[in-house]
Order: sequence, then structure tokens, then C-alpha cells
Amino acid sequence: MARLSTATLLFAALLTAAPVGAADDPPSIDQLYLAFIKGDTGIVARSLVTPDDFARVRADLFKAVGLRQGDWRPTHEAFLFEVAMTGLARHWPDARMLLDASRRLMVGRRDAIGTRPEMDRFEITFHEAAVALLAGAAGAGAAQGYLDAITTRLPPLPGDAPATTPRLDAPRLLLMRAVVQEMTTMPFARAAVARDPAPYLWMAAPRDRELRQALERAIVLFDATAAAPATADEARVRTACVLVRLGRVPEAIARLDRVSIGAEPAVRYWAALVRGRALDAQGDSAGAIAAYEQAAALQPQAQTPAAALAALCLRTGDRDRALHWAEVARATPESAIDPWWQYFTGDFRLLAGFVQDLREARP
Amino acid sequence: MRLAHPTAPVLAVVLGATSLVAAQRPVFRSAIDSVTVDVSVRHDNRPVADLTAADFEVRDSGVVQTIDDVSREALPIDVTLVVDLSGSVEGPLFASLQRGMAAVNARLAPGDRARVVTFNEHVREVQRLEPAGGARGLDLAQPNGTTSMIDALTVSLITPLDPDRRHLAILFSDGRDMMSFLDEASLVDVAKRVGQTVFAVAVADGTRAHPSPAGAETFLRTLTETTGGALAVMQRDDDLAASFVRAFDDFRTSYVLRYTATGVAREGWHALAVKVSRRGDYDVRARAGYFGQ
Repeated sequence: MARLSTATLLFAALLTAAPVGAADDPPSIDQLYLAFIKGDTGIVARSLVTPDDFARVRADLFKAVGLRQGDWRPTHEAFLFEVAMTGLARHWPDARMLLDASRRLMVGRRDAIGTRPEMDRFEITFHEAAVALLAGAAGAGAAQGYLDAITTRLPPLPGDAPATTPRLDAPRLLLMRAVVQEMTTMPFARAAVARDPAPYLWMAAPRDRELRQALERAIVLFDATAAAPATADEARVRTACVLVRLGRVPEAIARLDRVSIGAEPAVRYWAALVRGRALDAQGDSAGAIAAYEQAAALQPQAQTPAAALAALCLRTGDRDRALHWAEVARATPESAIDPWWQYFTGDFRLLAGFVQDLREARP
Repeated sequence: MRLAHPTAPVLAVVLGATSLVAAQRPVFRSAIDSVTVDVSVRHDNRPVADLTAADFEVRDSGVVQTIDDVSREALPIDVTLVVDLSGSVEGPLFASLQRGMAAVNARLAPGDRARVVTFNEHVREVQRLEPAGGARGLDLAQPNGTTSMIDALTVSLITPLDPDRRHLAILFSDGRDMMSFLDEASLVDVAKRVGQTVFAVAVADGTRAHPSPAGAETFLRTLTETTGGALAVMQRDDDLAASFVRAFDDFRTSYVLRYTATGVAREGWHALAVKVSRRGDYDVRARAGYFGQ
């Protein structure tokens, strides 16, 4: 798939966070693991760089995965995730297979859900990291496949079979099921699957019936996740965005009105952008300008609100402000990351935090 | 014969227009409701060079206007290259793009200026307006990321326009917009208001032997024709430099007509229709209209 240039930046940050320095001799997979659990979390990124590096450890790596069935530890999972993440960032073709193998190990752990809360928390973090990684580096289809494979460990959503076994308390993963559903409707994701014969714009109302149905399904899933405090704000903003795309503007604004002021900064920024779009669609140019200006204030280096303000101010006859905002948009520094771009990649923006939690896992 | 159209009006004195429009044609700043129109006239796909005011008919909102002045190749040009550097442009296409940009730079006459805006999901002005020669040494970043074509062209078109110059934007993209927050209608609205002529070079996935349509081809055709420009659809193995040069030369050799709008309401959208009254089969291209203030 087309990878965001910002995804490359994030990977670069993740894979160079550890002490810098090349390994002298190519280490074995066991040596990599031992260094990793001793705290050298950068050893994987430093040692597995080229296709030859991955080829060298591949056989031992997958052999080790098989042996771990009876000797499962969180550090094994954390290490395997590190290798898979490094592989995805560096286009190793077996990276997703390794992640799948790690997932099977994870869900095959001996402790049943509910018996060891710390293990439940670790499993949730592992899945969150995996879904975030796949959403950003491999696309909606890959993230969807992963989530489908762990459905029976998550609380049921509308349309799922009733739960007959204990489930993980994982509202973020439930939200991600809805997000991935939304992602499948994005031009960004669709083009990853196949060249769309009828390309459409992201915020434009899709004319295709199948796409509209997919968006309606996303609304159902988002609404089902909006009850959990941890994910309610993002669920509301994303629902509002889908509703704007479907032309249901009053419903969208009602959702946005319920987003709390304490929401994650990126979510508050998205809310302001979507509100601007909704108000503009309603013909409230002054309200839309105020919303976009709020977004610009929340993320001064983001170009999206600046571009929207430039176009809208020009349309409303305020040419001086239009020129100002267009200049702001053109002048955003190369290193600036607009959180709007991260909207398209689910929880990828949170990957660094998930990875940090995994790296801190102890044997 | 295709109808076409003018660049933006100058309504500075009475209307107190602010910088964007007021700056467009200060050559006529003492006039009230003075309108200038870039008009490309071709016959057998070649520019026609010997037309006079008497050979043109301009209708503003359906009302025939008296043309005050016609000039050709008299004013310097400011050209903005708006260039897609998303991941799909990597490889030979990137090299071809660089040749195209260099070719435009080589066509700049003394007094002309060039600016470069690149985009993937991120829009960046990598070169401000510079005289001929400036873009030649430009070191472009390697293609990477995805595409925000509409957002990029929007912020590229909304710039201060020097009133004593003509203004051209050449867009290069594969046309598959993945990330823009703004939409097609918004960009067309911007294009109608700013007075720059937009040419687009859209690259499809096909080859010369097996051509395919470009993404967003219909939209790009509408957009460019609205501004008096044109769309060139190229296959990935075509010569981009030739398309860039054709767009630039087409603009350079077009006429600039000036008239004082009469018999029409000052405010709102002014639909324009330009014809060549001389006998013959001419391809005439100009803006679709302008917004009065």
C-alpha cells in the first residue's frame, strides 16, 4: 500500500530509539533475544536491516516460535513483536506471518482470561500494538484480518455471536473494529487493495451503494463503542465524520457537541476539523471559520485547517485572510506531522506507546 | 470552437479590492471594472499570431463588450509548478518529471519567474518565485507517501498576484487523490476566484501501447477548462517534458484582451464567452468567467 511519509518518520523514530551502534558480528536469534530482555531494545532494529539479515535468522526464529508453545512468556511476545515490527518497516515479506504466529502464541497462553489480570492487560496491549502496526503499515485489510482472528476474545458487538466464554475488557480494540470498518471505505485503503476504477474523494459522499452500506455499518459499530469512557470521544468524532460524509450533518454536530474537553489532543483537533466541515455544509461559514481556526490553534503546524481556511475565506470575500492561511499551509515545516493524516491509520499514532509498554514486559 | 475565458477583473478603485484581485492587473488600475482575459487561439493545433481586436467577440454575462486592447507576449509570466511527489511517482516517472520541470525553466524568458510547490500528503513550497534559472538546480525530495492533490493546488493558487504579470499554474499528478480534506467543488470555486490559468499533466497507469485513463480525469478537465487551461493525459512512458513545454508555450502565445465591462451587474459571477469572428476553424480557449466584487 501507499505508506504515509509520516509513517516512515514514525518508524524511524521507533527503530532508532535505542542506543546507536552496529553489531560487530551478526548475532543469532538467541543472542538478540538475550540482549533484548536485558534492556537493549534497539538490538533488533540495529541487527535486522537488510533482507539478508532477516534471511539469516528466519529459520531459527520460526523454530523458536514453535518451541515457545510450552514455555510462553510476555518477553517472548514482546521480542517477536519487535522483530515483526522491524520487518514490516523494512519490507520483510514474512513479517506478517511472524505477527500471526505471535498472535497464535498469545491467545494460546495457559492462563484463561480473567484468572491473571496482568496477563490480560499484556495480551490487550499486544493486540493493540499489532492492530496499530498493521493499520499504519499494512492497511485496513490486514488490521481487519487480525481483529477477525481475535473476535472470540473481545466483547461482542452488534452482529457478533453472544459471548459464551470470558472476554478481555478491551474497549480500545472494540473501537478499532469500528475504525477498521471505516478505514475500508477510505480511498487510501481501497487503492491498497486494487486500483479503484472510480476514484472518489475522501470527504465526498460516496455514490457507490456498497460503500454507503459500509459507512452505515461503521456508524453502528462506533455507536456500540461510544459507551466506554476511554474511547467515547474518538468514537463520537469518527461517527460524526462518517455522518458528514453521508450528508447527515445535524446528527454529526450532535455527536461533536458531546466530545469532552479532556479528549486526546489529536481527537480534539479532528473534532474541530469535522465541525468546520459540517458547519460549512450547513452554510454557516462564520461558524466553520471559527471551527477551523480552533483546529489551527490546537495544531499550529498542521496544514489541513490552514488550507480549509484559505479556501473558505476566499469564498467569503476575505482575501487577506485567505492569502495568510494559504501562506501558512505552504510554509509548514517538512518535519511537521498533521494529525489529520493519522486519522487514516487508526491507532498507528499510538504505536510508540504500545511498543514501550511491550518493551517493559518482564519474563 | 470551444468557448473560453478571461483572467480576473480589476475593480480596485470603486470596490476597494484587496490584494489578491487588486494586484492582478494594475496595468489598468485607473480603470473601473476593467477586465482582462487570457485567450488561446489555435488553428490546426498551431497558435494563431496575427489577430487584432476586431477579430474577437467577447460576451460578459451575455452582453457583447468593446475590446479596448489586445496584446500578445507583452507581459512577463509567473509560473507555478505544482508537483506530485507521492510514492507512485518513483522510478523513471520521477526522472521524467525532473526533465519536464527543467524544460519549463529553460523556456523562461528574462523577466519570467518560476515557483515550485511539491506535495504528497504534505504540501511544501520548495521554491519561492525566482527568475529564470532558479529551478534548474532544485533538489527534489524522493517520491514518498500518498496524495493530497486538491489541498495542494488550492493553497498553491491562493497567492498574491503581481498585477503587471501573467499567472500560470502547471499541475502534475497521477490524479488519484487519497488524502485531501477539501473537495473538487471547493477547488473549482477557488480557481474561479483567483485568476490563474491552470494546466494539468495527469499521468495514467497505462503505457503508450496500452493507454488507460488518468484518475480524476473528468474533474481535471473541468478544472482546467474553467480557468482557460487544458488537461494533458500522459501514459507513464510518455515524455513529460513535451507536455510541460506545450502547456507553457500555449500560455505564452495566448492573447491578453482588455475591456471595460459595460451593461452588466458589477457583483456576482460573470460568465464569459470569447469567439474569433474571422472566418476559419479556430480552437479558442479562455476562462469560463470571473467574480465581480
